[in-house]
Amino acid sequence: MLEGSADIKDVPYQRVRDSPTLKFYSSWEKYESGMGEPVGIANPIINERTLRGAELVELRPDGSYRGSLEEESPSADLFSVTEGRILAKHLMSLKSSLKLKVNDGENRRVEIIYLAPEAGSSHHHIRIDVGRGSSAEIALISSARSSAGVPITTMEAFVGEGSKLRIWRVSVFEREGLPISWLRVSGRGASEVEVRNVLLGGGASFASDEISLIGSKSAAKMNSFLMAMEGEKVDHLTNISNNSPGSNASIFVNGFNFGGVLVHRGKLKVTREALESENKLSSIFYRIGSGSKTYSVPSLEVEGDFAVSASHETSVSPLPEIVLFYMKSRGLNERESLEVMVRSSLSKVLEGMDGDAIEKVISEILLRAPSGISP
Amino acid sequence: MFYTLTLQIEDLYAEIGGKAVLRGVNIELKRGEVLALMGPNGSGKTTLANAVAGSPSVIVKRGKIVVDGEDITGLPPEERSLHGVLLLFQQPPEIPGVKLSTLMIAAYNKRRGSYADLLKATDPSLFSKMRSSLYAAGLNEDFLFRDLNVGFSGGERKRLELAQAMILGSKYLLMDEPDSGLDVEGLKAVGSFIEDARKEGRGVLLITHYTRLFSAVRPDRIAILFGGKVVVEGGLEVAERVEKEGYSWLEGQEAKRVEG
Amino acid sequence: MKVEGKAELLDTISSSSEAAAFSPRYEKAIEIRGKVDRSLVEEISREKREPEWMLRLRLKALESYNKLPAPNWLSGVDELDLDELIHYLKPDAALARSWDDIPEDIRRVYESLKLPEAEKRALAGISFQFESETVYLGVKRMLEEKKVIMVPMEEAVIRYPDMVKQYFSKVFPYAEHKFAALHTALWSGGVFVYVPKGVRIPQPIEAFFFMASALEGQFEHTLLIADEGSELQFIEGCSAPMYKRYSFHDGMVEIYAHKGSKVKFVTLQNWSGNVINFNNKRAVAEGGASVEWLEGSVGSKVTYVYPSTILKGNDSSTSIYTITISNGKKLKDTGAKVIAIGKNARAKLVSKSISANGGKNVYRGLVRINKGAMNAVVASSCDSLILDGSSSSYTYPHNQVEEDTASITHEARTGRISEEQLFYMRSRGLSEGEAKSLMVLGFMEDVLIDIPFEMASVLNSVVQLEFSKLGGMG
Repeated sequence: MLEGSADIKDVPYQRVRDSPTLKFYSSWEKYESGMGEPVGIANPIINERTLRGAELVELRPDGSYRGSLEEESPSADLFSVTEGRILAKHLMSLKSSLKLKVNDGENRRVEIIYLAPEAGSSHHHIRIDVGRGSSAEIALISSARSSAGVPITTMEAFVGEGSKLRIWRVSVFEREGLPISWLRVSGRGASEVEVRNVLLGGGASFASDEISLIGSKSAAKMNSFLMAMEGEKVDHLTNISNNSPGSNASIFVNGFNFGGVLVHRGKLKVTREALESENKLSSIFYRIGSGSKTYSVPSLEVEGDFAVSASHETSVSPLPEIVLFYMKSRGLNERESLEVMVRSSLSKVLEGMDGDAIEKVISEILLRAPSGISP
Repeated sequence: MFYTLTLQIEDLYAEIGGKAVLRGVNIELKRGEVLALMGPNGSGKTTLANAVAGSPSVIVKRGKIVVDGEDITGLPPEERSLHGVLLLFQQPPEIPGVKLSTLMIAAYNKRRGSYADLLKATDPSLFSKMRSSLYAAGLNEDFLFRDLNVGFSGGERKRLELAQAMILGSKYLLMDEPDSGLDVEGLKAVGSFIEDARKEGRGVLLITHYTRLFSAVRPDRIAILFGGKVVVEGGLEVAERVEKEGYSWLEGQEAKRVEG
Repeated sequence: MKVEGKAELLDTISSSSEAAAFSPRYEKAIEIRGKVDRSLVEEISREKREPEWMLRLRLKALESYNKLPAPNWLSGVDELDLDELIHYLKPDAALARSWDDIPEDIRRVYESLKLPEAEKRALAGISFQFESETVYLGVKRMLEEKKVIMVPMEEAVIRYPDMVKQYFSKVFPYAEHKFAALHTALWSGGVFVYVPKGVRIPQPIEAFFFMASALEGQFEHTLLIADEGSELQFIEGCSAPMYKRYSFHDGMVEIYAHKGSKVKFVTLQNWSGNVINFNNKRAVAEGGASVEWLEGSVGSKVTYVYPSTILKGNDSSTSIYTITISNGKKLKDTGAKVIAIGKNARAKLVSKSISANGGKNVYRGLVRINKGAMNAVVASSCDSLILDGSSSSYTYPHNQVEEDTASITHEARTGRISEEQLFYMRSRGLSEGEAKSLMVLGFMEDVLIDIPFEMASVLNSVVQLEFSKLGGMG
């Protein structure tokens, strides 16, 4: 059992150290007020399998689960209770940790379905150990229609030499949901880590992905698709800490804001060990309709002149008129042009998954999107 | 006026960014005809093509555009496209995230009329058609799956426009400087495409700044846009004069109506 | 608070080093030692014979200073000793007594830069006598004819109180952060400039040579008001190295650009390596006005400066260019802030930074588009050049867009000089230092284009000196 402490109230939501005019972007207070004993099970929106043939694991709001993973007493290596209050409360509410171990040379595919509570919070922690020369594909699917609950997960993964790990996180919530998910991956020599996200809606959904590369010739790739409708907020963090010589780190985020709030913070940290590495972060946010708020904070920290390249770029704009006209000149109307752009972006993230059900959900939501594209 | 298969531009006045560019353009383009439109830089050739295609940045102040008897002047660009007017851009934009195949499938489905999913190809022959069009335009079939125009050279973008014209088949083509950025091989590909288009009975408005394209395909007529109006119309002798003297001899010419 | 089971999970993985990658490092807040007495502020005000309202402003700022927390977002400064700072508040204390007081390496630089004697002495802080030199007299007369007011800030407080009251500490309110409050409480020196309606000053005013004494202080406050339709280019500082006896500088520049006016504010700073330089710079642009900031920072041990523009009126625009060089164990923490309020705002932010020999550059940007700032277009780019393994560069741009019709782009590139490029230049006869300085100049080229020629050429020489020596200055 994780040791409790009376001083959790002293832990701030987040240590803010950026500048005098900046406060944090995350809705910590909302999460805190929604936390408590979990009640009921919210109806999921995605009801079909997304990784056919994979092992199936089901996480339930009361902290129990069904499936082929080992359960052990709760412990977290890459997370600490001193980081922030919500994380601390979560770690201390864990009843168990789930362990997925992929032995050397093995390949495993696991689909994890996380059922959200209707109210209150639920807590799960998963630890993934990928041995040497092995591979793992994991999909974490969480969705709910009308849930005011706060489903929280922490996942930590250790990827051995020469191994591959691909994680999909699909989080589709309607207006009220408050899902929180932290992922940290540590990749060793010649490993390949890929994290893909489909983050849609929620009153305030938070998804944080951090990859640390060590050893040589590793690769870390992040690709996220974000969408927020009116009244919804998606809060996404993507960090890569690159200490791996000859490595490649890339982060790509594409967001479509239909009158909600989109937040993206992404940091590429390139240390002195990342000799001859290539590092790139690119985020494109489109605003459609009116009332959107978009916050884009790409950061770059480079130590020494060892990397071949380290760059980032971001843009926040309405759908470019010339791009719209180009597609219209091929016969597509405004809504169809938007559909082409949204689904093209989504399909890149869903590659390798049986993503039809997810595509369908997004198409339906697009139909309900505001009709005027140009405000 | 009885109904003929033509693209009529009648007395068109148009502005860009508040500036008047087209001052009464009259052009009639027949099906199966190649009409070359020349003119100095800034004469409004691209503005004209964009006006016909319905670009939001061109404001039509007066005049009409009629396609096969139907007035399309007030229609949005996508409907003009579905009415059979296809614009090949002078500077095709980059569309990160969208593959050529995706856009072509969607456009193709639109033309078919009935489809369950805009983005899913139901016609198996479409992919082979896309591949052969890319090949004919001088591009590797990899271009099908690359993000549209992202990182493509000027010449590659032009070839991609050409491939799209082959895939989508339209009644009228507005080709805006299809030869710029292309080498001798590319020029030949453009030339033979236009020949085929003519044989298929498509009407081609060929906008070009240089006369070299005419060595690869002979236009039926050549017109010159000058000062926002069409001022000269004729055969190859027009092109020869431009090549020898440039455009200075056009000062003070009256507006002409170009018809077949 | 321990997490149990950690030891068992070690296995083949050394989780402690991996965990370290994820545990955020929290920098200490600055410790400020010593206190600023109310009586000190009163004494300053008395010596300047200030009116009551200015003393009241100073005291309110002092109150704010005592209440505000020490900034926890600043790195590189662990401790500030106010008692030492206050020592230099007296006017003459900042002056060097003689040429011999100047450190050897700085004297050598002056020799090699071949500056005129008067300039050398001014730079060295020895004298301020050349306000009487003929070259500058001509410009002074021109300004008088056009009814441009340019006087030391203290004089303006007494002669033009209404104008000063209207703007002083209103463009950059003291309550915003601790150092702004400290500045407003202790300010001394600085220039007041007022350009009347429609008056256009064609050539840049190299204020340093006019108002040298006024600009010498550590808490100088410059207030520049450009009335409707006026135009002014103001150059502060000089790229030649300047020796400062004090070690902490907390200055402020407030600019108010009225409708249709154009203001260009250029700061070139190459202060000696003992200075911690803090600068609060902000401009407000009314309708149709444009404000251009050009910030060139070569010297000082640590510099914090973030020129900001509030695009208040419709059709206002701003461009903020910053060039920072950290050669040696220095920290440049600079950036740019734009807040768009009016419609059709335009902003261009360009930052070029070079770090070498253990230097560290930090860029902090804020682009904030308020709801209602229709059709705002902001483009910002941030290029860093890191010249060796011990130097570093950090970029933190915040883009906050709350308006549907606005378009923001930002790009940042951190690069290096490749072995191939170096070898290529050396094979043409250049030494490594010469090759590096040439690449540095090339890197900064597009930002340097806009500086008046003489300044650009001095900056050129300075850069060449900085990078030609293996160890560099400081």
